Amino acid sequence: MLFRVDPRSTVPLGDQIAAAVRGAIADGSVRAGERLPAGRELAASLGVNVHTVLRGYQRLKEEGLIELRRGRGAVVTGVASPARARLGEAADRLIAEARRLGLSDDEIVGVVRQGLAPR
Amino acid sequence: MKPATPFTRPPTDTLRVAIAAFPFLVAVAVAVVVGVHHKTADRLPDPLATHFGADGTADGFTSARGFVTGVVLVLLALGAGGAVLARVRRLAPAAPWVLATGWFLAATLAVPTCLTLLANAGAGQAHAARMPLWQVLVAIAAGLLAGAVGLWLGGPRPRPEPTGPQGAPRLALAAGERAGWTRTTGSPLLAAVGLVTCCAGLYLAFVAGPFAGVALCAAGALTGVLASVRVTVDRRGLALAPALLPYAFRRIPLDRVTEATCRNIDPFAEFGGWGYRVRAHGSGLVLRSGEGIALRLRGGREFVVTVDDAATAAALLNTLLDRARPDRGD
Repeated sequence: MLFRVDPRSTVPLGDQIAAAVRGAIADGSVRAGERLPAGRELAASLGVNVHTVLRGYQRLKEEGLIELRRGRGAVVTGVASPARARLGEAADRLIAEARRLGLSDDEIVGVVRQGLAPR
Repeated sequence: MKPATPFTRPPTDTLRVAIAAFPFLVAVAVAVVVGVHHKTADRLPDPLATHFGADGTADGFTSARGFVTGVVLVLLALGAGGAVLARVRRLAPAAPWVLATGWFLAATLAVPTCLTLLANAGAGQAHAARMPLWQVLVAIAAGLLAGAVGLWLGGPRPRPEPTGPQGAPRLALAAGERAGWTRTTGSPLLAAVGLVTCCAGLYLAFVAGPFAGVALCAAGALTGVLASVRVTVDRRGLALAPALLPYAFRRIPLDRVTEATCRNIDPFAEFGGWGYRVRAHGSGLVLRSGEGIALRLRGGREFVVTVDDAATAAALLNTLLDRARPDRGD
């Protein structure tokens, strides 16, 4: 899979790395069970800090797309599907849109919670 | 070496089978004729001297009938095997070498057999039979000569046409944007071979002593390591590392590459097999046939890796090369 990061973008580098993995899962080029490169390796490859990569991986873990296991590295989970990855992309779009409108993080969470409330 | 070839195109399947079987049939005929001729003339002792020491004296004996029957059976079995191999489509690119091996084997079996019969017939007595060392060299020379004939009859080696997407693709990368491509490539078959070799090594370590076992285990581990490899393309160039260990065993720095392409790779025709191969025209890691990255290196050699999504990797490499050499102007 192709990782692309642009240091001049306003999007944090870790999020850009997460977006690259998400995109690869969404278009089917990375499938469940596949192992992502080790954080240290990817950091050296892209010339970014290891913690930046791990921040991106952490985000993917919270989205349920990858599992992080000591010694085994980052592995794409069984539930990670193209549709699931697109959900993360949709969330990114929501956040970007809300920020453009000048909403704070709390307000963005509030919008989502509002949408969930009726159920 | 560029041998003249009798055919401008490789021989057909039927012809190839005939060429594969021919030397064994000739060898059987010669062995039987020589054996029967001397037997009827009552010049062959029974049992025959059939094994000779380094000094040329006989030190092994077999009955005349058993010796000739055994040789004929082995020749027929090898001939049948050769004919079957000559028909296998997958081996077609290596067919000249299959034929050459058959011709070599037939000659190196038939010539010593005849020499043994003649040595016995000449001596009259099995214990007096001699086979000097130079006759062994004659047998090997005859084998090499026959092998060369087999290779010649095999026809020209089909050169695989580079198929698939050609040219040097590029990736749209913004100035300052960083990119890296990585993917694992592997061979389940190679992993299985590595595992079996390791098991055999462990077994051998218990049965035959630690040294042989450890050597076999090491070979198995090496095979296993090559069975799954992570290919990485980034600003530093191309790197190959075992998927389970983050240590590259092969790196091609970016400044050694002149161009990257994606093409179909035929391991058998181009590299004579699978694995990490080194040939005169190039080297590379070929674990399957099909899509792969092909790097043109400084000095003209090629380095290839069979891996999925090779087009993206090649495009990234070319883009990074453009970036590293902005003065290239092409």
